[in-house]
Amino acid sequence: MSTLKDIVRKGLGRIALVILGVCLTMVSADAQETGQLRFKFEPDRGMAYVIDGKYRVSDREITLQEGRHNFVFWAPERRMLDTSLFVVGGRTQDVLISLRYSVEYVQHRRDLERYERNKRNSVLFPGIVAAGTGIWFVASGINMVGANKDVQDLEDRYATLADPNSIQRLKNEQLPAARDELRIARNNFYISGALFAASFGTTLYMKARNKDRSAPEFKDTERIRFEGLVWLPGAGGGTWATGLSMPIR
Amino acid sequence: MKYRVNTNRRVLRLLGALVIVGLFTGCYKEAIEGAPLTSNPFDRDYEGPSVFVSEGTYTQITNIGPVSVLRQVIAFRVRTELFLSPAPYSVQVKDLQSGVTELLNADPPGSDNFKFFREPAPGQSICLELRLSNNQSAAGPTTICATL
Repeated sequence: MSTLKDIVRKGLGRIALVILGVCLTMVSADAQETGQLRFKFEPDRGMAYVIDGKYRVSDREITLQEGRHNFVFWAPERRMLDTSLFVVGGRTQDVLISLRYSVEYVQHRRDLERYERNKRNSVLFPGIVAAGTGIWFVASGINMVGANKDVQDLEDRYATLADPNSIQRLKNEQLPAARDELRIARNNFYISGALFAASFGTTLYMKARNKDRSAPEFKDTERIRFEGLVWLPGAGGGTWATGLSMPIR
Repeated sequence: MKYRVNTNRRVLRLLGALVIVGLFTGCYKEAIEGAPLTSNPFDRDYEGPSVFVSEGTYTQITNIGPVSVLRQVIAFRVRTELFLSPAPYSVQVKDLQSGVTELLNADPPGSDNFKFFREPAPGQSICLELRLSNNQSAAGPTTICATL
């Protein structure tokens, strides 16, 4: 049976333990002061980072305990930046994080530019040529009809002339010149027609061929790597998946 | 695939149209090469029925003042129906015996009849080189002969 004295002793002992615990906690808290980091990202859109390999956040300001912390920064189309930052207790530090484009994205941009350029050139160039030759074709046709009319007019005029000198001039100078014009106009018409048909056909062919070609897609492998750093459950919870491979010889 | 079929059809239609146009313009070959123009009687290269028709020869006494002169008349006619279009004209005549050249107008005026006067040469074939003339230039020659 415990006496009142024992009860008092035990109670005092417990109180002393609690006070000691509180003091120790305060001392510890005094030693682990916190600091703040204020990030400015380049680019700002879609930027995210993982702290100490555990927490994925995208805050522009973060408060951490004093000391060195590991950060992995990432943004869409950018290369991951794995670095350490030292947080100074009781201070707010501005940190500028600029991420370079990933190799895959740079390559993708090149592929896309090449695709656009090829698409543009393969359709636009023959299209311009087709338009040019088409205009030439029509102009040659009009010119040829006009030249033919000139020949016809001169031949008709032959029947109305009663001046032998004028007839000789018409037959020896004017008519041969008009026929030469008609010959040149007809040759131009044939050449322009052939070129127009070829370029128009090429344009249609290139257009049809490019229709089947799709633009190169960008696969952001850096994103996959970054998302693999920290597991985050989705809206419906998370799923762990694993695989097993067995070499068969 | 459907697009390609349409494209091919379009190209074929265009080529077909070009072939048709090419055939059509092939007609211009005639215009370019051109048949020689020789149907106009005023042309020096005229080829066709003779424009001049001899109307015979005879003598005629002409009074020149108080003097009466006997002259040989060589009559001929111009076939104006061969003209491609109506036109005023005269006839250049060269007497191949004497070498004399004259420019004649219709006699009577307004008709298509012409008369060439010369010294009478009985029994002698008189040949004339006739040319249609207009605006001081002459067409191709035609020769007619007549004997008194």
